[in-house]
Amino acid sequence: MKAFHHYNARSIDQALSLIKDHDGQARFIAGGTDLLGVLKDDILPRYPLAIINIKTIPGLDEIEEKKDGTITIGALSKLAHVAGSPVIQKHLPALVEAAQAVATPEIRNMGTIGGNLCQDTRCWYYRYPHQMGGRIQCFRKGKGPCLALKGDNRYHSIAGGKGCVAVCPSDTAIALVALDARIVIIGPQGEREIPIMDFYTNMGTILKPDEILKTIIIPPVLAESKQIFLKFTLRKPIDFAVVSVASLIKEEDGMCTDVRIALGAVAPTPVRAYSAEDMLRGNSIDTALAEEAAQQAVKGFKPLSMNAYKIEITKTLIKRSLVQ
Amino acid sequence: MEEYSVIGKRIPRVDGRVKVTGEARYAADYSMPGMLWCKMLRSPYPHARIVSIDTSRAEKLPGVKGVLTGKDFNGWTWGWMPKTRDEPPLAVDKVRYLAEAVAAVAAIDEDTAEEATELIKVEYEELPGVFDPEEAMKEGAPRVHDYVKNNLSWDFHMDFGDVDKGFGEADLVREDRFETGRVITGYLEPPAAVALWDSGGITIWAAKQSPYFVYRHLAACFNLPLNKVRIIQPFIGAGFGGTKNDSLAGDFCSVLFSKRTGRPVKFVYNMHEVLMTCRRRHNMIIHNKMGMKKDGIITAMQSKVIADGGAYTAIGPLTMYLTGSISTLPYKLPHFRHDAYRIFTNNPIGAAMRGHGVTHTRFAAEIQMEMMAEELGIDPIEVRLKNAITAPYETINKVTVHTCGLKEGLKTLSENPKWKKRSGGSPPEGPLSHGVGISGTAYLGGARQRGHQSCGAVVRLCEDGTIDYLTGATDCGQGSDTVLVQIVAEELGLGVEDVDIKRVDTAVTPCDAGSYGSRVTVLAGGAARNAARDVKRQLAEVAARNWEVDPGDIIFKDQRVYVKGEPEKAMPFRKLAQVACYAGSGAVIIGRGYSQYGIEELDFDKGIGNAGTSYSFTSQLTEVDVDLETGFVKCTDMVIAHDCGRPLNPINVEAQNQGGAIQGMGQAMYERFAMDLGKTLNANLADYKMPLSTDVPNIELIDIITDDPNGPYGAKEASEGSTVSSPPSVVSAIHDATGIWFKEQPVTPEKIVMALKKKRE
Repeated sequence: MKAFHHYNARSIDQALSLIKDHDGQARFIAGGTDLLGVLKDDILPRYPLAIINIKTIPGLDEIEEKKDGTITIGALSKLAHVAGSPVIQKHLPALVEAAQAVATPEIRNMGTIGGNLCQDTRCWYYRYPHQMGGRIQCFRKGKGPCLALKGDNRYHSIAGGKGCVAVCPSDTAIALVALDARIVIIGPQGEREIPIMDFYTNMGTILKPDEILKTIIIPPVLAESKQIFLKFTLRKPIDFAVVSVASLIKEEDGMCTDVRIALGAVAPTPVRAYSAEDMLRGNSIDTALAEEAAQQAVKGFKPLSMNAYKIEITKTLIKRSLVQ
Repeated sequence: MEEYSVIGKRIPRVDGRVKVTGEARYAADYSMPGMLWCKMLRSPYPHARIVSIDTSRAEKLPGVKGVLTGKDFNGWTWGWMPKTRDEPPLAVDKVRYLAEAVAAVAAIDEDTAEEATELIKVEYEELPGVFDPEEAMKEGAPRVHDYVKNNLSWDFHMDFGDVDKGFGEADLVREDRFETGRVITGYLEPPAAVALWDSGGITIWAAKQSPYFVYRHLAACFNLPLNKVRIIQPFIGAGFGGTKNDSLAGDFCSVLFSKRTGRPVKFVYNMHEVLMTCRRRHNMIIHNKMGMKKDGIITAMQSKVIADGGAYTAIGPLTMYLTGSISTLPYKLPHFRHDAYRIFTNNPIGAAMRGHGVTHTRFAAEIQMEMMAEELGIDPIEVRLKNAITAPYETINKVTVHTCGLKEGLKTLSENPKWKKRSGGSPPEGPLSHGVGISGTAYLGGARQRGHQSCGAVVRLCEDGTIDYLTGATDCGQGSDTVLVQIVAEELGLGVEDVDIKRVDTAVTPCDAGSYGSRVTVLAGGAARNAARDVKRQLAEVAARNWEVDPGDIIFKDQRVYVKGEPEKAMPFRKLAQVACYAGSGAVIIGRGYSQYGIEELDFDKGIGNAGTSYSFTSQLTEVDVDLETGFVKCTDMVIAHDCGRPLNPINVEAQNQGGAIQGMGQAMYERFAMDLGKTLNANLADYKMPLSTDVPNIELIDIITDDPNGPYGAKEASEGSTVSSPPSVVSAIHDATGIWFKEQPVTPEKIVMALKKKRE
């Protein structure tokens, strides 16, 4: 890994001013479990001169339950902390499952929930290490076409992508989409709050290099709703999702009154299965309906040359998240 | 049977404590004052002509002490056989695989060396590459080596009996195409070394599984006599064949840098270099044809093997030999024809790996045999029992088997409740389908290559009765140090704590062919026994003189020496050592021994004869649960009935059989290098999926004792056998669960779920 300057920011203001001073040549670091890999492999054309540590900013790792039932999670909360939090365990089992599904205990002890939401894609063309004959240029890096379109795309998008078919690898994002979370971002222009779905674009997140993801806000969950998070991987720990599904279902008298289904690793962004949700709302969910909804969710998906199998797995996971 | 005191006991590993506490030093742990770091510049193209290299900017960088290019080695190349020496330490005229080393830098620290590599300017003329062996064989395909037609790296042919006659006698003939994947050897410790050139010649502390290969390579490359090349072995973090049984760019460059600078030079490959440039298992396409009678008797087999050899030959000729020469085990084969082609491509180099050569063709034959048995309505174990050999046996290509526990192993498994409750394809109630599979395979132990194959041992008696034991055999993690110490202790009636095994050092330890082909226990073990017996003979003579009895009546047991039938004539071993060493003007007692090969030479061109001293037999039952809706497979249980002759250390044998089986399961279910035009896309251990501890099934091990006459204390090999038995057993289980035969490894969920979908439609 090449050398860089390292700063410990003591406050958000100091962090923002440090990044400004470096004029685009610095990166923020939290747990570092994703960024250090990016730097070691030197995958990006521009290597930062400085790394600004935001873990040293106090107060950004708190988990709170407000009186109205809203839960806020400081973006610097470690994944292990999120998964072990009594508040989260009580109200947000899908998020517990998702946080617990990330990587390994060591990484969950280091990695933050903010970092998990912001992590860069795992596309193996994009991640190809520079020192082994030169990094691979691609559409996502601003040069040339997406190589996965004609290459080995078994882990790529089955739901299209504008120019780039790499998928969003985050597990917690999928649970948070189902939980209808909002994200607070702070930057030179101050704070803004956006729905989590708006945080993701086809080419990653909307977070600018001089902005920090500060807080995750989860509105009061539907009372007595059922929450499920399922992740399909080849091996048990470590692996990134081949497909993940998070569902939140509220049922009254056996009738589905509300439902949210989020799909992960199927597209460049998390995907809400709106049309499947519509089929379920107002009906009693049985296996047949769950299968129909799963079929509806993947309608219009277009697999690439090597990943039609992901459609089958997606359908199965959706069905199981509804009727298990 | 003789009662042993140390042999056959569950003795903890002699290297266990130093490894667990971190005291054991590996090659990358070595460092010296004034040491330089060596880094490679690697090619961005899989196939390109090198037009020019400008190293001037790198040389000017402060801290850089030297830069090397291919020309600095004066055209020297190395390879496994005289006629296959095609690999240069650094690429000279052209690069033949992506990330081949083109230049090297030595600098005062690692960062400076790395920075300097980026300042080297190489002008390339990119050439069209060829990445698929079947494409590469075609007329007009780009040539990887200009002088090699159709990219044929090596071919090997066997023809025994009359296959046409055999197929004519068959009631059923099948032809199938099988494929085995390109997989990593999977050691955790990357290649590393510290090299020092001084007036004494070369000293190198290198992570090598078989240091005596490198010893010869360095002597040849630098034109030094062998007594000026000293390889000192650190502890080794696994090998599994291939890379650590060979030399690599880092070795040659570090030595040459040290020669030029007079300073020690170190290199450590990073994981990307390991996964992209080091030797990997060949992937092979096997076109297999088998004939069978209605009753399940095999009448003939014909195999055509096409192997992706990558850019250089390496040990490929032996791989090709093993794909065929062991195909005649463990089932009777009256007619057999084998045509194997190793093809150059612009991929990384294919070489030896645990289960060398055999795993590919045995997978094809096992699965095909079971497919045919299924067509004929014959039980999978029954078809194996019908065709299995029994010892003594000589195959049509004169492989001689003295002991064989295959039938006993298969019968044991057939009585296992796990086999008896096998559903045999009845559909499950939920999405989870349970499957049970079987395999019965053979592997060679005490393997031989061409050339020097002997092992030596020296046992030195210290005057206090303790033992210094010198061997040239390397324990790269398999546990051979413990077994060899047990052998010396057993012969002298001592405990393992009385024997100290020294690290391999080519200046001190006797020459040894290497740790490959499951040969250490069988051959280095034989040498250890003979050397210990030499000491025992010398001591017995002293004791016999002392007591005026026959030396043959002296017994060594429990750290004591006594006369048979005269218990009052006894003394501690320590006392006898003192008497023997101090008698007269003093004596120095050294025992020496070497392995007795005792088998005729093999015919490497025709595939006739024994490539091993003895043969192990493995019967394996595997249970899986397959999720029919996602294709996910959980391998839950394995039962392995293994004939290793006699386990000399049951803990080691168990660990080796478990490790081999899991490695085999990895390549059956998970592992493959994802390649795109010569680029390895998944060169990290998150994307390249070796099984993790949580993926490992429960493994029950059963020893089938056969006491082979050619192994010390009856021992044969353990570990490579289960690497071979595991893939067909796992794939047979997946078939039992899904009703589908998968013929290409790895059998991943993506293949399973799509095959099931197709089956439903």
